[in-house]
Amino acid sequence: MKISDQRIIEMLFDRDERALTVTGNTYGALCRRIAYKIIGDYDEAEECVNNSLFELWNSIPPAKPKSLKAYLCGIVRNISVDICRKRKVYEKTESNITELIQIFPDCENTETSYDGKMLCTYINEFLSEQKDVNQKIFVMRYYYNFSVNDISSNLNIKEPAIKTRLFRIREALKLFLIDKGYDL
Amino acid sequence: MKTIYDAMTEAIDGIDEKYLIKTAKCFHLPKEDAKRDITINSEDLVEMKKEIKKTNRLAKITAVAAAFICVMTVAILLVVNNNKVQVLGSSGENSLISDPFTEGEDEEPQISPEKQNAMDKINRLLLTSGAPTAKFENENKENPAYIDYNGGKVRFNFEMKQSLNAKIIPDAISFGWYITVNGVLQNITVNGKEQGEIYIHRLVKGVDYNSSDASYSLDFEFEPVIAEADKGKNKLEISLVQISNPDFRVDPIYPECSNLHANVVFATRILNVNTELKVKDIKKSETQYTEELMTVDVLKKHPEIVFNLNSGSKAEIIDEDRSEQVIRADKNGEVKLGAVISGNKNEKIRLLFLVNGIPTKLSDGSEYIEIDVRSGYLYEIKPDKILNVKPYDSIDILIMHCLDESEETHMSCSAFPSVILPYTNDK
Repeated sequence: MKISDQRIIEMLFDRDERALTVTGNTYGALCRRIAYKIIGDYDEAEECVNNSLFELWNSIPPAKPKSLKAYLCGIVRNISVDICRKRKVYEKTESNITELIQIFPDCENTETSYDGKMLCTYINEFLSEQKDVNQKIFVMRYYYNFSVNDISSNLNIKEPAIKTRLFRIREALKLFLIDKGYDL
Repeated sequence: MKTIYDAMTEAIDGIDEKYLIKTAKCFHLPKEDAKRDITINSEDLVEMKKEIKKTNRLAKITAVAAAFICVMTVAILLVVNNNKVQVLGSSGENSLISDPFTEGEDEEPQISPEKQNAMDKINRLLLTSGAPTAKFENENKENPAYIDYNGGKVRFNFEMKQSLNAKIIPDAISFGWYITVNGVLQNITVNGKEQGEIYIHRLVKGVDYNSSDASYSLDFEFEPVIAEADKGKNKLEISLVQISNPDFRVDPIYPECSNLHANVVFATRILNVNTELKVKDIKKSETQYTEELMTVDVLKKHPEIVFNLNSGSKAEIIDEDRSEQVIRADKNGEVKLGAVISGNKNEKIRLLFLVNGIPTKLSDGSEYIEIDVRSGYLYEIKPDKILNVKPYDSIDILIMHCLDESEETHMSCSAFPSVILPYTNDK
């Protein structure tokens, strides 16, 4: 029987442990894929997913997410990134953010005065001006660290088209940030 | 000072929730995971419970301490106001404070061994996976997506490799296959034996697999038959559909399960017909359906439907109350089922209802429903009585695409399988 996300949230509010099994059965494979894309290790990814389910259990309640799927994916992503940061393997070569910072002239490891929070505000503003599909491509690529192939299969768009869109998104972001006063 | 990389990472961490929700909707839920699936094993659960109990206990102590301070404050105020000395909270009978260490200790839900067994069965089944590849005879040399057909039987071979790297290895697994030609089920012969419209392959622990992988080879053949409406067409879509665990029946003790009997179109080919095909005696349903523009408000009513221009149409089963969440039999034990279909592309689709993995008929004796869906529209098939359905049967829809002039094949999304629950007064 299908258990809706809403029902799973209710089960979590009722402290019904079966909610975790149902969530694991429904979203487990997806979570593991997301974790694997970031961590690059199946065993670590599995551990990450278990930790994410535990985090889900601890955070709902009080949290009542609008989308359980997005909320869980976000937890998996954050825990995966944390694991990588702690192990210091989330280096430039591992993360797609490397290609995003190419739009900055001094993209080496030099220290800078860029404010992450301000940049975040601008990125959200930039995304609001983008088409739906570009928003999704951006989030999949840079938030979830998906490969072009993964994005292609999730969105059913051919890989060359994804690459072109990513290139155009970066170009548009560059122009947007210049417009906001960045010296790029 | 931060590096640009750090600043950008911080910025990406803070991407607005609405974009994450929008993106998450596009994530395919992998029906099969080649590596492992999630299980919360009992040890993890015990640890988890300990953590939760510890947290709850701390919260209780804090709450009790806060309550005690409040009570004492009020008491002191009262005493000061009335110039009287009273002792509060000291009497056993009238104590305002309950013992935080005994209250609720035994409130953990107890799962009976029968229920645990039923739950384990489901968890085990969901841990299996498979990834078949099909090799057809008579593949067109220029374009292997086309199968040249000049009469006789269409033949192809499956090489199955299934990974069973699970913590709990199931005792038996079954997989089923259908073949359709423009949505019309075909009679299948496998390894020389006639099987009917579904072939179920059963794997037994210790015989076909032990603890890791199972691999086997199957030779399929079928003589294409078509619906009356497809007569004269020389290009038809062959769809190969796999269904998981067709042998499994839901246990009334624990009817909550997901993805059982899920079907997936895993390969499509185009049948290049150079001869006349046999027409199958099947009846198209005259059941009514409505068409509605897929606005945000309409989609809110159907949260499981995802409008995605890049995928084939998707269906959800509904019952007489138009509920997608819980499908129940009515007072008489009968079940009326309909479906909600998202028109993601302009295409002709044919739907078949499956009961316990086997195609079934509608009340008028028809076998399939045909709809010309338009992109951006939502279709609702009025719930109709489905024959031979009873409580705890598993139900699903096979949603098949019919080839048109564009010669573009679609792997339409299957519905989410559901289980019929018996009638209750709470309905």
